[in-house]
Amino acid sequence: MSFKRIKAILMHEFFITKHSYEVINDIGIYPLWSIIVFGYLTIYLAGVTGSVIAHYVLVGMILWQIINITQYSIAVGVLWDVWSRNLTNIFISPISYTEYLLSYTISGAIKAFIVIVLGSFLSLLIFKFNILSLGIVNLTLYFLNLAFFAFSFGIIILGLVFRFGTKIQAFAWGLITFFQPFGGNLPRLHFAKAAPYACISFSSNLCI
Amino acid sequence: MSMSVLSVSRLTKRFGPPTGGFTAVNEISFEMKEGEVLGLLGPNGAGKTTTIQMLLGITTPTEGTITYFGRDFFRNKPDCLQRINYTSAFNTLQGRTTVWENLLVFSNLYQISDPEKKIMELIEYFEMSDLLHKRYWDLSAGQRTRTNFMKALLNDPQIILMDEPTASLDPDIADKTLTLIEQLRKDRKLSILFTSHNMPEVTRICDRVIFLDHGKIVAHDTPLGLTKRFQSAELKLTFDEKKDAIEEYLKKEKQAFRFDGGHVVYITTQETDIPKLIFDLKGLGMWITDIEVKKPTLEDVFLKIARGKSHVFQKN
Repeated sequence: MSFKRIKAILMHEFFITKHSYEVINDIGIYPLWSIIVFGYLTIYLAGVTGSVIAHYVLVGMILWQIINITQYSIAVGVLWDVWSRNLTNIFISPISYTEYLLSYTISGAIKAFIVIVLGSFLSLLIFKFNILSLGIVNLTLYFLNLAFFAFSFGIIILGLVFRFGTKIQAFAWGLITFFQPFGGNLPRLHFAKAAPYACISFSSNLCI
Repeated sequence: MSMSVLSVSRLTKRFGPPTGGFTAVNEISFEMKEGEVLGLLGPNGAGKTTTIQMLLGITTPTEGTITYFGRDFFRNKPDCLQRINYTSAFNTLQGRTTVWENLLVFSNLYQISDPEKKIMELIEYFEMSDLLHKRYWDLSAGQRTRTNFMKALLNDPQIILMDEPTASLDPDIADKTLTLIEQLRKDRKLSILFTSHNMPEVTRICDRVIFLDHGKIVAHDTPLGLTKRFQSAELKLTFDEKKDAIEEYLKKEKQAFRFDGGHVVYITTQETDIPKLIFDLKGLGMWITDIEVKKPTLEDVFLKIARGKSHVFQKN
């Protein structure tokens, strides 16, 4: 394992993001905008169903971004090099698959963390909802668990893209949305349930 | 004698099921010496790209071994990849990022100890300093080729695999690229595996060439050695008069010939017979105003192979 090679892919990811308005929109502006839109929805829902359910929806949307951004970062991140015909150049360097995937996981987690912090700040500022009310430990477990799920899903998508080619590339940003309806259930897990759930999920993700 | 830096033995790649599948590369074996430029040629679908992909570790061979610097490639992949590199007209760098950013990423991938110094050295060598902060996809074809070469030299490789590096370049830039390859070879004692469909280019650059056809090596020699296996040359004579006498003589001598108008004749004959032919025709009282001998080129070798006549080149 070489730190320098992991750093190389992180730099590569940073440079692509810096030069691509699409990426900035997909993993920055669009997720934050979704949080704001759903925040306003919670104001309406709070009047109809009560504030608890309304907050579930908002927390679900914030936590959903962990899955969305991490998965996008892995699957679409690699596609940028497929589209540029640069992937061969990367894989004929001495980088190992472990280093390569680890780099994308770190990159995805960093991006997700930044957006979650910004989204949480916006929801506190605009909707007076503090995500820390879930508890730091719970939140950390949610983050790790969801990031690992997204990482595993991203690898499956990549496998499909490498196997069937770019004709199914839309899966890289589209298929994950099939899981979005379940996002609302995420905050309903209490810590007592979240910890074993996280362990089981980690192991199954590692198996994948 | 130079040592072998690359050795390929019975390399085979089959796609699909063992029976009824497709064999892209069929038990090829060859060696490349230190400082040598080896051409890997063949018509489309001959197996060149699959061979290169196996040599780079992108495709796993079905059978056979690849040895770089005396070490098995697939058992020492990271070490071998650290000492080789690749450039191709068909694989570009990341288009959205700048030349500097691309090179910085690859110098870290190759764990260069002082990346910035190394990049600056290459930038100076390739005279690219004014393009350093330009995005890769904003560069011209020639500038991209130079950037690809810079990337390929970042790790000071001992071997570079070049897959049609001059494809899609205009003749001027292609010539500059070839000059650059010759210069690199001289300055760095590089071993180069070179593929191209441009035969004059191959004749200029390569010490030896391997012709592949349907996944097999059908000819393996120096460019001159291969063309010498062609036993015939074309003699073009421009003459003043006596067409009938010439025709009669050539028929009598059982030569293959064709007239182009009333004053030009093309004779396909053995190279060694040319002096006798000219002497005899002169003896007929023919006034020869121009003589042109077209010797076979690597292009002719290529065409023979592409048209399924590769047996012509097999050594006895």
